[in-house]
Amino acid sequence: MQFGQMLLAATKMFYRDKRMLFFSLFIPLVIMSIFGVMDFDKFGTVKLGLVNNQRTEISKRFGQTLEKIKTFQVSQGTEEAEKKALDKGDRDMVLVLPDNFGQFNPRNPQPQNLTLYYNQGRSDRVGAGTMVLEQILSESNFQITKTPRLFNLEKKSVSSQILSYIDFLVPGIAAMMIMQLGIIGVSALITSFKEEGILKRLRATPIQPSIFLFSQVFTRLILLLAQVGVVLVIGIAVFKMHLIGNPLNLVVISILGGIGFLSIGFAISGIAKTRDTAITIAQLIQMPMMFLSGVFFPRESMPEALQKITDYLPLSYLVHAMRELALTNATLLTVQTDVVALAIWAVIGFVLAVKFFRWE
Amino acid sequence: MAIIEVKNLVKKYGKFTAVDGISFEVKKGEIFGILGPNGAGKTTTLEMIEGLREINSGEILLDGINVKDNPNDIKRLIGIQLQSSSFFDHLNLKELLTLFGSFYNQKINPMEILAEVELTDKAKSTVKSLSGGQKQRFSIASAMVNDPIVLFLDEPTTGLDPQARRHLWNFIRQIQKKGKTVVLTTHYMEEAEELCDRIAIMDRGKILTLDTPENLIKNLLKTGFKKKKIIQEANMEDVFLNLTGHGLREE
Repeated sequence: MQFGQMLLAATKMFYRDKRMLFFSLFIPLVIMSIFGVMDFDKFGTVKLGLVNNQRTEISKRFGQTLEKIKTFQVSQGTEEAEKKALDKGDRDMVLVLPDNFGQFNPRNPQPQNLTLYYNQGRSDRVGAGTMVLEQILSESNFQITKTPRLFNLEKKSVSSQILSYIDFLVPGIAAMMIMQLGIIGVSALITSFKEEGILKRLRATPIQPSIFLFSQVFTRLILLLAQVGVVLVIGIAVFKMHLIGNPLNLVVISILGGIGFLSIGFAISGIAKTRDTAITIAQLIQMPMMFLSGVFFPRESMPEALQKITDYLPLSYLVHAMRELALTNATLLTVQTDVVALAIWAVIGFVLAVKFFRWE
Repeated sequence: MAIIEVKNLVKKYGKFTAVDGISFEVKKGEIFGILGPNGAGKTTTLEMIEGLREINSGEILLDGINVKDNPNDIKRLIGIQLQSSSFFDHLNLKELLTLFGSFYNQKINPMEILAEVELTDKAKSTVKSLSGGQKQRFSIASAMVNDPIVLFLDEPTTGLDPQARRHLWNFIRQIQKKGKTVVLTTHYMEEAEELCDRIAIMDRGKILTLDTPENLIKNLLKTGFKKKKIIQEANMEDVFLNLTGHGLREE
């Protein structure tokens, strides 16, 4: 079949393009190896001071739960002593439980306030710690109030699994790889075809340029999925990453994210006249996303205002969905917000691509 | 017998008329040259015949087929060498020809085509590593994967040294011997005189004259034209080739 020839040629072109291979496979592997070798977990341990008078059964259990979580290095003491330790920098955060913790008036349950003191200078650890605390509290919420569950939301104890930094990092890197292929990979490819007059040469033959481009992009999407697979397998085999979710869900979300970023890449190739311009524009879009979308560290550690804005970045949705699907038993339904948001981004990208993309 | 018929062809870009109502015919099996200064409308004319550019008005028939209505049928019948065509970076010559064959949905024998353009030993090289003359020969090879009946060459020898130019002329004559029609543009009068069976000279979107090179020169002399310089029996190119030989150089 002649279409097969085109796919074969696209595969050869992709793997002989050492520069693209360097960025699309080698760099992610290096980042993962560096972070995998470093013992980030020790560094990342959150020193939590707990003020717990253990007046209630629930507060006792709560204390035990916290002790079991690897994220925390829990010390217990009086409020005064713990706050002093926080001031000296010996604690990252101090959680004060009220004396009547978990005791509710059944007729009129009022939410209880827990006070959390934290060291502003350690925003990354505080962010990670707060995330875990919130999760535990929301689970306890169900247990204590015995509210009938309206949604059977499978909140898994991510907390005990997400603790290793490599677990956190690998899904982020996979999402980053997908973004890079779509935005910089596609826009650099197409603009270089345009710049070198290759698209014009194609028009001199009976092939539809769109069929040719489809063969190129399709091949790259498949090869990228394989590369994401390679990174995941190395992460699991070498760096002991925990893959808990169903890999099929990861494939689906990767394709959805891939389509969204591809259409952004097509839009850029319409705006940029040369390969260099395309790469510059692509970097301007990619670089901030890489750091604002939680690839390398939890987004919770960013200032709240910045979080609110960057919530809407396509990479934020993809990173979040990849992480949930890889590290928990979440399904595509659980991360439906991300799925819908990514679909909306794909539509936005498609509209931009149609508006800006030109063959010549 | 005419293989290409062009009737009252017009192409406008805004207010600028690039091709201004030209008509001519190309006979089957001839080498037809279009000459003219830059911006005369040569490339635009070629690209309209090739179906690459929209025709504003007028009609083009190629082998009896209307180009405007059937641009895709035309592309199967012709081979095109663009003025500056480049190829994919990471494929070698053999792979490129196979890929181009797939664009015509044809299985081709790339080595056979490479042998025709004397590039057999470069089968595993990339286009970037070829010399100027080799590049042009490969560019023509890529235009021949579909065994076209008409071959269009846009300034095929621009930028080549005299040896490579002469080599390419021989090569184009061989294509003609296989019964193919060749339409080419050029800036070199010597090339037009030596290679072309008939020549159209264009300027400002119009054809000023169309005839065989011999007749064009004869007609000029009839008007009483005389060269100001004393006619020499040889020119600088003869000196150069006499010293360096006709043998083709491959850098």
